[in-house]
Amino acid sequence: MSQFTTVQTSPHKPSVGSADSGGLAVNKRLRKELMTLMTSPTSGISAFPESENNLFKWLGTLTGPEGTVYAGLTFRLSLSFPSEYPYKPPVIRFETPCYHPNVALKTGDICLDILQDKWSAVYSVHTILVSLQSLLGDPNNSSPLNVEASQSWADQTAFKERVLTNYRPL
Amino acid sequence: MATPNPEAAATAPTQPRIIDENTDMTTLTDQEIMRLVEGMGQEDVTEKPLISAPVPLLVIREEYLSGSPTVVKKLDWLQAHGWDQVWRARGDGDCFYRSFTLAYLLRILHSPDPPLYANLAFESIQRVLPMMKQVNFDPDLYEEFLNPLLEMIQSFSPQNTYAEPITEYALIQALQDAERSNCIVVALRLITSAYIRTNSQAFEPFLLSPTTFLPLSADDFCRQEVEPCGKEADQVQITALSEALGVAVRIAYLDRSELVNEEGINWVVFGPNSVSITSTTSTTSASFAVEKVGGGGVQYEEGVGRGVQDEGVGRGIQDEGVRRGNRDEAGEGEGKGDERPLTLLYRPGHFDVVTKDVLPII
Repeated sequence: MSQFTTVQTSPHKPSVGSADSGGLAVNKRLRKELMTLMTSPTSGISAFPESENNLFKWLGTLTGPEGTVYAGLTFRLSLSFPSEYPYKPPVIRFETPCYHPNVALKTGDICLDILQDKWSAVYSVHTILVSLQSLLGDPNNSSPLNVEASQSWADQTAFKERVLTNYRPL
Repeated sequence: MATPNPEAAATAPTQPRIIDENTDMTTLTDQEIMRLVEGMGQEDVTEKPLISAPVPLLVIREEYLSGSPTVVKKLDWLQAHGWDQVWRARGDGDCFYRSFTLAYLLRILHSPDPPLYANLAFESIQRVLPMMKQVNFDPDLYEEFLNPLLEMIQSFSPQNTYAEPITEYALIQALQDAERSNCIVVALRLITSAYIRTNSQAFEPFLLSPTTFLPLSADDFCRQEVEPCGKEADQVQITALSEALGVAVRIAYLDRSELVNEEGINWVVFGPNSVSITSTTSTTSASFAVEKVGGGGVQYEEGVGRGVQDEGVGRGIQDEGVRRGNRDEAGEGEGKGDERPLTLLYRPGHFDVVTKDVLPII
């Protein structure tokens, strides 16, 4: 059996219980995720806090998967974490214009179930970026944010042209 | 959309009626259902505590006085039989898991030997770890989510010399801490998910989307309906969690359904009262038959204790069955096993904890 750790449930020391409830626990979790991303990098994805002082805003990059119309393109993402993270999902946007059925071209908003109602606390920045990478090559055309893109997906040659026209290199 | 009588529609815009727990769900129109679904999660509940110190059952009764007489009757029955305390959980979709947590810890607190019962609880949680690993959850992650619960359980240990004695007040206070409470909610959700995934065959017929009623795979069901915070627990989740941890959950349904007997309440019992929790592999036969009349012999895993006696629980439960309420058997000091069910109160869409009034634990 593991060692017995002390838990403070004493009414006289409420601070022990609540110390973690603010930003501390989120900070800890985000730091841990950052460590994981840095120590075991995955090709084609990366993310890092925008500044040292604010762990709640990150910038990420995503490289289009080989064999898709996005191959060779690199996209910048912004990630913004709520104070309830990881119980609430982060807000993620494409900062680089991305012509894609599930991405709003102008705002960069993303329609992905795990960023909305299927978010769970076991997901992480890493799992999100991996999911976004696979979303690039495998859009959900039944619930498009960019209707035109969803309709033109069938013609991959024409689609790629539109991707390139809208794309701005980093 | 074509309106048969446009004039009437224009002159008399129908005021949306108030829909609450007393509304007969069968009378809901499609529009009303849509409105309810859209409104979900919008209600500002964030000001309410995650779980609160007990209020008299009479407070709930007050709310029903203008509503369903059937529900008031059921409340009166609970009151008359000693179930007079309600510990409210915040209505944020995690209320089952938060209620479960409190009831689980109160059950240890009110046991004849809290350190021993805490140990049993600790071990039953340890036993689900291999299952979580088996379904490919990341051990780093689930252990982190489980730690706050394990720490709270361990705080009942006599070795825990630093902490003050555990009281109901201390439990409530600890569970009002958002970080701790949310961690525990996730931990319980992961245990539930792992159990459903491991026993997917048994659960399969019941894995339906609550909105479309279409069948879902165990993986989809768990990703959509179990793992995300804020998703309500239904019978599948309740069964899975109670079986996974080897603790029966008995729920007083405060709906408007007719009673089997003239008076009484519809208790619905979930969990290991008719199956062996040792058979985590396949054949647990998804034991959430809504009515479990009589517990029957239970095989608990060794360490958890002896088989449960016939509890006489089920619809229209009467005195005898209920006598084995939270406090009663604690006083009776039964053997090593812990067959006391967790007792929750269900109102459509919401769970709270209901207990018999107990003397303050000093």
